[in-house]
Amino acid sequence: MPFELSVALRYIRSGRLQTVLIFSGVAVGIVVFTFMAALINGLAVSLTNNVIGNIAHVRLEPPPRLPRTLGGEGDVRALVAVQRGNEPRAEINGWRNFVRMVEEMPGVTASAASVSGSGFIQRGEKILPVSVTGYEPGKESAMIDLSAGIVRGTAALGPGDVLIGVIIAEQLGVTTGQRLRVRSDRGRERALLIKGIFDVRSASVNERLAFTDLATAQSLFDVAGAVSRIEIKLADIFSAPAVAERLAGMTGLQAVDWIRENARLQDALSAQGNTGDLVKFFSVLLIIIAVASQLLLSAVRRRGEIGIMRSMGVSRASVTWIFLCQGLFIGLFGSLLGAGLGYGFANFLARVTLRPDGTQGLPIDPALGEYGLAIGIATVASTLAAILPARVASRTDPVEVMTQ
Amino acid sequence: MNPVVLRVSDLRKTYVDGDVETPVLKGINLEFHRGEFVSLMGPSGSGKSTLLSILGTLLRPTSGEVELVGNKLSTLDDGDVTRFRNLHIGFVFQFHHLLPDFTALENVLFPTLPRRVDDPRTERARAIELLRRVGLSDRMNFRATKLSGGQKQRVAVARALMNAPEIVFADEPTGNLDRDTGEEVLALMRELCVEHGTMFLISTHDEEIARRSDRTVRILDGRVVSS
Repeated sequence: MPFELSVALRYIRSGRLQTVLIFSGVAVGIVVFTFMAALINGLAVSLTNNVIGNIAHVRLEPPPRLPRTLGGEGDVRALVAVQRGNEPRAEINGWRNFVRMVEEMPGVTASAASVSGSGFIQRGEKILPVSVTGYEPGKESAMIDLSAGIVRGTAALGPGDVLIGVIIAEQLGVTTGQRLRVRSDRGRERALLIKGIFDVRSASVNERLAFTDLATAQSLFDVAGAVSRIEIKLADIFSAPAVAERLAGMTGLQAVDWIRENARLQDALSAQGNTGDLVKFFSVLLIIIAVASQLLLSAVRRRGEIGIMRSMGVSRASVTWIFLCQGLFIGLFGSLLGAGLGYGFANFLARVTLRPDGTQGLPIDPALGEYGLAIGIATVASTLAAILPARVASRTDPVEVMTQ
Repeated sequence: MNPVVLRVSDLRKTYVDGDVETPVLKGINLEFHRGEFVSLMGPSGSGKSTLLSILGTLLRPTSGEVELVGNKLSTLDDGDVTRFRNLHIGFVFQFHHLLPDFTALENVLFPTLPRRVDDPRTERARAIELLRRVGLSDRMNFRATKLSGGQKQRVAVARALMNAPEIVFADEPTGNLDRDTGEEVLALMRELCVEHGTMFLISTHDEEIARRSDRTVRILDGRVVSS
């Protein structure tokens, strides 16, 4: 071992109370760093999952149909005003080919063709507006995990079956096995059997959505053989814009990604991340100040020893390395200690805030504490913090020691 | 006569503080031989410490030349001087200046560390032998802080000799010890001087040390008055 390292270790070991204090300081800084990372990242994941858990990451829709204009020749420009709702319903024909194309794409974890539209659910005198979506058989839970949210009945849909949310069921006073009348905005009407009631912990879904099988939805919305969209889930949710762009190019359909549709979520996550970064920055700054002041004190206190080392032929560079090594050791071992404590603390909080239903009271995720990053930053920062004390120490004049 | 290990020619040192110039050494010429035990005496402010610092390569002269073991100091850069000091010069200070976090043995071994020794076991054996020679075999694993004043100064003497230097500079080595302990340390240095053939230059105010030296260099007001 180079002697600079062994002297640095000896100085750290001999410091006792000071060493305990500085290691504690670094460790506390890293606990704050990793705790903030686990909390902010956990919150981001939780928020993102809450938002995108019930939506497709990418949606393929038919391109908007614009009426042909009787424009003039040459430079004549035509301005067209299209009143929404009056344009003909856009459909995707030959959708099975598109689904096959989507499923072959790397990163796609699930896809489902669907028909959706607005309508009303009627039970006796009570009528509620709903959005009805019909999926291919077996794909009811591909986008929204309905099977996990089923509180009564089953999520498996057959022809003429419907799944409704708990709020609709409460408002209409119905339960599974009973029938409802569903009327679409196309004026078609069907009596559907309530196969299951779900609660996906989202009021907007529980009170507004109803699910049927694809064939039922096709007959309700008068789109025989076609679908109105293809919904896609991805392994990496943040690859959605790139996947959407690629799919749009491949299919000629309009591809919409969740990020574009949830810009405010991104802004919120970004603001939250910046706040966390600020806290982390200050925790690292405190580590730098603590290490620098501790080593500066040591450099002054050990002037005599440094002077005698210099008189024994220890170079200025070696003295500098002795202090840099101390900074490195303090940063490395202090941050290792802090990372361990931070992980334990995050785990403890995650456990004590766990609700009986398995959901998290505090959205902290101990696995997202950025421990490696924290240890790396603290070690580098602590070593850099030792530069000033190292320079002070290396400038010690051995003549002063001789004459003391 | 033994060969010359240290030659000083027209050595001058002037401290400059702003516009004020303070000449401390005003043309020193000296020669020291291998195995000599020499006292350096003079009143406070006469330039003893400055001379010792320059000869110990801790301070550069304003002019003149110092030739140590055949090397002219003026031709060496700072890195060379540091290496040279490690290999050829030992120091014993009034307040011993042991490294408190290290044991007696580690303190003695310390001068070997900067030069990255090939065989640490040989160096360790030499350090143990030196500690035995200064009568501290049973204290070698004691921390410096656990030793008495006289024991610390013995460790400092052993440490000064660890790299087998040609020259040892001692600045008031007995000044902080009681009379009996000071006598012991002085006798020890005298014996080691003979045994190792090392030249000792001892800065002191003590006439008794001067009497027991091979010769005494006296300086006054920056000039050698007798040598």
